[in-house]
Amino acid sequence: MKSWGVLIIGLVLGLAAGLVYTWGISPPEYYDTYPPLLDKTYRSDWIKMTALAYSAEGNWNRTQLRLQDLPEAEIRPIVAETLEQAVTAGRPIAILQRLAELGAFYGVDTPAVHIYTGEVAVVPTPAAPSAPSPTPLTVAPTATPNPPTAIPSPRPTLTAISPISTPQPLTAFYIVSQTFTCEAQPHITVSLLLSHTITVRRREQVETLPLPGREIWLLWEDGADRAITGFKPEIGLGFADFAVEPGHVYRLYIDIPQGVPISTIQVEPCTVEEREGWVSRLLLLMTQEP
Amino acid sequence: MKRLLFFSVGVALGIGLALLIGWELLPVQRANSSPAMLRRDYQEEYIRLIAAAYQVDGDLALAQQRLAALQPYAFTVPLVEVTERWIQQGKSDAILIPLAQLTHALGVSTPPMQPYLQRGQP
Repeated sequence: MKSWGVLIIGLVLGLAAGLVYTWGISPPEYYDTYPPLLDKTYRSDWIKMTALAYSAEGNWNRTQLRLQDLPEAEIRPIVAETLEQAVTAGRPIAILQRLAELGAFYGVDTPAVHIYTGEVAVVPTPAAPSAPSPTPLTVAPTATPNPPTAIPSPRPTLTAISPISTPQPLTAFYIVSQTFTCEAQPHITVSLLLSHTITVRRREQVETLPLPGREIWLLWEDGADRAITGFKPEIGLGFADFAVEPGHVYRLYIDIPQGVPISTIQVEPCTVEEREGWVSRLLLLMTQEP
Repeated sequence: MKRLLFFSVGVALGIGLALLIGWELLPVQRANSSPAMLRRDYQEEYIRLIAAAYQVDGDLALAQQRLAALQPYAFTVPLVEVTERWIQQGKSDAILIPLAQLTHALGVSTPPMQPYLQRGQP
């Protein structure tokens, strides 16, 4: 072998050995690093704190800077988890809305995000099977708009933050079933369902889906109460619950407390055979997709 | 003898080239640093995030643990230092009140922080 061949063999061996050492055995230690180079545990914590900070401060630009260069695939589950924890902990609605807004931006697709960004998974248009038809109304948003955030900045196209502020189309609901129980503290629970037809292998099948983010109103002689379906995702996305008192006549409305009520309910005592208490009821209300 | 010399020169050149590539030109970047190795401005941001997160979750033990990742012993020192420096620089209440409240919750309270603690009271 000629001398230059020996030189090249030495060069290759030296290069290989050197790269094993510099990349594997003794890589450079970095100081003055930035968040993407943090250890996975710390990186996750950084993302979680950023989400919480955004929920408290509402500073979108700063949040984007804090999350710069961090992979979206890593951000997504952490923001989703942070939102779930905040929902479970009963944090204020403004915090939940901001967390949901952040989640929506990073493509988090969970029921909580849909609820708190004001998106409704399925928005049916008016249809009237066998229901009392609501009187024609001019639909007005029922909530005041959110105040602008501190720093206006270009944002992705997000839906309205507040689930309350999203005007829903008038939809005809009808009572599918009522379940009665006898309880010391009576309540009225409402479950909203959407019936729609899907085609599977050329066969039509009817499917029912829960309807989150809808306003349920309960009006009585001198008062009113309102609930939004889906605020307790662990129970069901279409559920809303009211504590009621004997001696009142309650009128049940969906979306807008005007016109003909879906039902008129009076809290009655349990019958003699049952134990003492008041009748609570669970109403299943259905609407159909046109 | 001549071949051995060429071989040694080749190995030396190869190692030199590898050091240049591995440490300077294409260093491996491992995501394994701790908050203490962050650049100074990111460390300050980390402290601010700890205070903001504490405002929401109220978890003092977790805030303490996070601060200890910056400085295991005397973990309140960077927090107090940043808070007082930012007070001097006249940063906004929105930044300083959470910092002052976290510092206070950790049992440290300095005179410059008092106005922010008062303003932060509901």
